[in-house]
Amino acid sequence: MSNQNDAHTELGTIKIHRNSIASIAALAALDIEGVKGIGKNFYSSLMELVGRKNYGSIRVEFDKNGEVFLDIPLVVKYDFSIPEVATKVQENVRNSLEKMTNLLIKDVSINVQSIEKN
Amino acid sequence: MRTLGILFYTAVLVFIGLLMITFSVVLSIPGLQLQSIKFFNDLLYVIQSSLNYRLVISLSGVLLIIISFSFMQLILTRFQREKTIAFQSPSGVVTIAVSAIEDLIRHFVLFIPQIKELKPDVIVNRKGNIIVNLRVVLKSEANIPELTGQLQEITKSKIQEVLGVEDQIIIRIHIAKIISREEKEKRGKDSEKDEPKIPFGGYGRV
Repeated sequence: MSNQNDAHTELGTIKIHRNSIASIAALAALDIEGVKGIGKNFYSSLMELVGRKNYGSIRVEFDKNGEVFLDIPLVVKYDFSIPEVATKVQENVRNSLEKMTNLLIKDVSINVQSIEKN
Repeated sequence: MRTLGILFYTAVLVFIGLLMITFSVVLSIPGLQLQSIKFFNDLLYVIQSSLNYRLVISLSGVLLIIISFSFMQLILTRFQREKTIAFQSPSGVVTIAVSAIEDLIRHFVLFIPQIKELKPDVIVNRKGNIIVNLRVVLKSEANIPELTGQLQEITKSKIQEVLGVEDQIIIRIHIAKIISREEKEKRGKDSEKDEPKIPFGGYGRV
C-alpha cells in the first residue's frame, strides 16, 4: 500500500505523504472546542518519548480511486456532547483536507478513546 | 481465531511448564543425575557444533515471536471492536470506547460527597444495551436508597446527554463497603503518622 497520494500535473507529480494528511487532520480536530487531544497508540507514545511530535495514531488510507479514509482517535473534554464534538471534527477535518489538498475524502471515522477534564 | 490464539498460548505455556517439571524431576533422581547432565551436555555440544541446528532453533524462535504478535494483535483488535459503542454520522462512523464512558462516570461522581470510591464497569451487550456496573464505597452518613437512586438517575441522564444515545441503559449498583467516621479518622491519623518527615522541611518557612 502506498504511503502517499499522487496527483499528476503538466509540470510533474505532487505527492502528499499520509503523515501530512494526518497532521492536517489533527490540527483541524484540535481546533474544535471540546477536543482535549488526539488519542495515542504505541508508536506515537514511543515517538513522544523520544521528543518528536507525532500523529501516527491517525490512520490514513487511500483506496484505488484515490479517495481517503481517515480514522482519528480522540480525547474529548468532560461535559461536552460526544456526538456534537465528533460531527464538528468530521466536518472540520473534511473541509480542511479538501481545502488544503484537493483530495476526495470518503470517510472520517472518529474513535473516542477517553474523556478528560480541562 | 481468538479461540485458536488462546489454545496456542495455552499449549506453549503447558509445554514450557512440562519441560521445567521434567527437568527438575530428572535432576533430582540420584541415578539419573549424571546421565542427564551428560545428555544435556551432549545436546548442547551437538547444537553448538552444527550450524543447521542453530539456524533451525533461531528460526523457530523468530517464527514463534511472529505468531505470538499476530495472535496478540488479532485478539486485541477483537476486544477493542467489542468494547465500543458505534453510531453512524453523515461523514463516517463514530466509535466511543467503553473506557471513555467509565472515565465520564468517574468524573461526575466526584461531585457526590457521600461517595468515597467508585469503580465503574461498562458493558455493551449484543442488543446494543449499555449495562453499567458501579462498585461503590460509601461514607457512613449516606442514605443508601436515596443515594443509589440519585446515582442511577444521574448516571443514566449524563450518559444519554454526553453520548446522545437513546438505547436502554441499565445501571446496577453494588455497595462494596461503608466507611464509618471513626475508620475515616483512623485512616487519616495513620496516614499522618506514616508520612515521613523531611529533614529541614520547615526550614525557611515564615
